[in-house]
Amino acid sequence: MIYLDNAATTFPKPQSVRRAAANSVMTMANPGRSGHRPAMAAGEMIYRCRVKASEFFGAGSVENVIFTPGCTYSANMVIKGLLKSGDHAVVSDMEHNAVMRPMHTMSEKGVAYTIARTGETDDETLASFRDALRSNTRLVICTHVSNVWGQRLPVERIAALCRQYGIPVMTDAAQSAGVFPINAEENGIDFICAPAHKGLYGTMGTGILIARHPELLKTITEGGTGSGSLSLSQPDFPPDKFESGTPNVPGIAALSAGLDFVKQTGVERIHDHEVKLVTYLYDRLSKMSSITLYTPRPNAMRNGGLLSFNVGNLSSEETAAYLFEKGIAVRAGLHCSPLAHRRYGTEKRGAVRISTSYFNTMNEMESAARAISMIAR
Amino acid sequence: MRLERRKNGFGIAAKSLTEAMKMKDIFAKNGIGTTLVRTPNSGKGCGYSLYIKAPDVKKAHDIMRRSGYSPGGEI
Repeated sequence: MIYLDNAATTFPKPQSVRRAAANSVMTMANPGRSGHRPAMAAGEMIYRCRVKASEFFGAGSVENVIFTPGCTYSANMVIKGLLKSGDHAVVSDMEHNAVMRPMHTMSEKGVAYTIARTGETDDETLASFRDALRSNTRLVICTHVSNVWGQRLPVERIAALCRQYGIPVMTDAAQSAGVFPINAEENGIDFICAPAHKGLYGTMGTGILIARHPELLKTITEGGTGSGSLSLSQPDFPPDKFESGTPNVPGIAALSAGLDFVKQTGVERIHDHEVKLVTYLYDRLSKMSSITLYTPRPNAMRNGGLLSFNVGNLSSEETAAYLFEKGIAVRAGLHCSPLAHRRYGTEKRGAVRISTSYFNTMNEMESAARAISMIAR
Repeated sequence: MRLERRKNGFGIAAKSLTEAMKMKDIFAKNGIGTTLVRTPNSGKGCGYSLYIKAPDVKKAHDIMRRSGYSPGGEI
């Protein structure tokens, strides 16, 4: 099988990640509650992972790294922990339902929001965000890279704009963490939500919230933290404030090894490799008359390693099924991002998404191109 | 986070395991060895303390203050 569904989760994982997860299961216990060796080993591993993540994302402090069950949960923590009735928020028209559904829920609780249209250029996108700001805007959300179309949005410039007005900025780095450099401190981003299991090569069910201003967030979950146990009130300091219950030790161990893998390989090298692969495929597909490509040719500055297309009059799901018959694993449909599909007129049909990782090769792209050309005949 | 006299040295009771490990790292970078142990607590802290040997305590006190903590107490 040629796996080209890495935007859903990277596969395979590096050997070091598999080993780290297995090792944690064999040697570690519940951290932060006991003094025996397996518990202390887990606590030490988690702390080391926090240090790595803090450096990787420019969190400013290890306490600002919060482990979560996933990027979606991280986004919920920010949206529901920060906004209240009477507030206004701005989101891009490329947001995943990880953002749009909690925003919709908050809209039923008196929060208004505006969808800023992304433009053909970063200047146009920035202007849309500027126009959408109101005096009661309390949060601006912009995905870093579209999970459908692969374009990078100018989050850094949007953050600079919002800084002028003192408005916190959250970015969904689901498709960019480990593929594009992103640094909360340097880029002035207040909250970065990221999954562990995509570009960071960890395992599913693990995520991160980088909260440069954790004091702005209320909790959305309370419970045991191993600290201040006499009190029925949740601890008021991070990370304990946001990390109730037993942490996902194997997931964090895998993330820690994944961060090492990405750092050793190099974010730039990973990005260049992935963009090269999708650009090759794009060029091959653009010569096939029955293929519809919706976005411009990828370029390194503006694209991650994914692209979406359709074949003739086939539904995207039919194309994906045909491709899997030929041993190519892709994702079709709406990718949980109806807004992004509406932007390009594919909200009814969906699209076929091909997404790469560092482990994909040019030969695999050639095989995918051949398989698509057979369907496109 | 306060320095407190304990049997065979000084102890620092942390409010969280993360804080204890962070402080352990800071001390290590400044050449002070510490031991992280589980200690009895009244349900107010996190139940982990850093143990410091008596000869290192003045230096540790200074490092804590420089790191934004209030170690308190008379050394």
